[in-house]
Order: sequence, then C-alpha cells, then structure tokens
Amino acid sequence: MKSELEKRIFEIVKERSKEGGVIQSELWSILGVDNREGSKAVLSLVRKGLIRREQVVYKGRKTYRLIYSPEVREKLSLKVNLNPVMEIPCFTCRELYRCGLGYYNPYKCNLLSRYISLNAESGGS
Amino acid sequence: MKKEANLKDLIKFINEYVGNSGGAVFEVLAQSDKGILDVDIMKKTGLDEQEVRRVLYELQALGIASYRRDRSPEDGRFLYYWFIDSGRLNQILIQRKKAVVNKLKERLEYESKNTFFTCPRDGTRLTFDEALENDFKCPKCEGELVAEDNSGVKEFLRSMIAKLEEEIANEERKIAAPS
Repeated sequence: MKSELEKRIFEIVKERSKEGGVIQSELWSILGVDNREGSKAVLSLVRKGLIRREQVVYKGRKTYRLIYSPEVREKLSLKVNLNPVMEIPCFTCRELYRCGLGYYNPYKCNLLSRYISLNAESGGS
Repeated sequence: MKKEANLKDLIKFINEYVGNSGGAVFEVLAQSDKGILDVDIMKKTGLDEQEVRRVLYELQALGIASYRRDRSPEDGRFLYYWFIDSGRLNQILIQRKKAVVNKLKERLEYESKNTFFTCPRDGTRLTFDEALENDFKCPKCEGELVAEDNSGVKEFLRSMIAKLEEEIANEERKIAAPS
C-alpha cells in the first residue's frame, strides 16, 4: 500500500519534470491523500535518491518543490582515474599491502622491473 | 564519457584481481539498488555458487562490496544482501593508488642509492655489492657484467610519481567536495 503511493508520486513527479517539478502541497490534492501520509512517502523517495526536493514559498506558505532526479540514479560515481596506474603491476598485485615486509619487495620484484624497463627504454637510457 | 571509461577500467581491474567472473558479478551488484541475494547473482551471471561466493568474498576483502544481513521471514535463516559500497569505492581506489606511489618511491630510492651491473646476455641485474661478490661475472652464465646507466629508469619513475601524485591530489579534492 505504502509503496503503491510512492510509485504514484514518483510517476507524477517524473511526468511534471519538464515543468520544473511539482509543488508538494498541490500533490496531495491530486492524489487525495493527507499531508502526513504523503510526506512519509515523499521522504522515502528522497532517501532512495529517486527525487529531490527544494524548499519554496507557495501561496505564502513554506512547502517543497519535488524534482525528478535521474542523475542520482547512477549512484556509482567514480571519481578516480585508473588509466595510467592500472598498467603498473603493483595496482593489481595481491601482495601490494604486504610488499616490502617479507618475501616480496619493490626492489627486486620481477613484474615491476619488467614494467619499468619496458617503459623507461622508450623514454631514454 | 570519462565516467564510462573509468567504470570500464574498474571492471578491468576487478577482472584482473579476482578473475574473469569478477566483472560480471560487479556489474550485477552495481545494477541492484538495495542489495541482492547471492542466489540472484548466480541466476543473473550464470556462475555457480562456489564461484559467486568466492568473488563476493574477494570484493569484500578489497572493500568494494559489502552485505546487509537479514532473517528470512519464512524459516528464520540468515539472508545476505550484497551491494557495492559506493561511498567507500573511491576511497579504496585512492588508497590503493597511494600505496602504488609509495612502492614507486621506494624503488626510486633504491635506484638512486645503488649502481647496477647487468649481464648483456641474459639481463641479470646486480647491485655493485652483489657484482663485487661475484667478481663482476654473471652468476648464471659467467658472462662479463656491464655497468648500467639507470638514469632513464629514474627519470621514468620520477615522472610517473609526479603524475600520480597530482592525480591523487585532484581526486581527493573532488571526493571531498559534495557533488
């Protein structure tokens, strides 16, 4: 029942996204639900990251404008560039955090040496 | 565009680290919003139970994946809902990058402190002390060792370290800033 309401709210907010979203207090009259029940569902949607809300003053009262936010859907925002670092064998090495403590070390590691000599040759030497 | 490339690289990294089923499991995890049961991962990827579990544990050890435990309403068994810890993901990758930079620094120091001798025939590489012990002969093939000019190696290490440190600084700023 509760998720049914959420679904309906989400649909309406999505439809009205071109008009800049829906005013929350208007939404209750469209859906015919009371404030208490409705804001619970809205909050749940906001927490899921499906919609966004901004505080506005409408007809002299504080309320929220609900906005569909598709960009939040792609929640995996990778901010780390892996391109050059991935070629270094250490990055994919299982011993990375143990390296230098025991058997493995960065001085004599064959994988690292090969990587360095391959790349340093093209640069100079 | 760039995000897509980063994601592709991440999947490549996972494939290399946990084996080829890693990427497939990661993609299924990334698509699910609120966590997914291992049984459903099996169905979606077509991998067997053992393999899926192995990959999940590896991803968890890396810090990329995490689970939420719930009791099944029917029989009270534990259910594990797996998901990608997206908040931690960037941190983990940066941490790993920093560790790599440290390794490169250690190597650079070693390269700067020592002079090297190599065997032209099989490429065996020894430090001055090691070469002295072997009378400047290759321990494998008895060939004459030749002094190596490692300035190219040092140059390469220095530029790579600088490049990565700049990247890390930028990325840490981006992560700290609310998107």
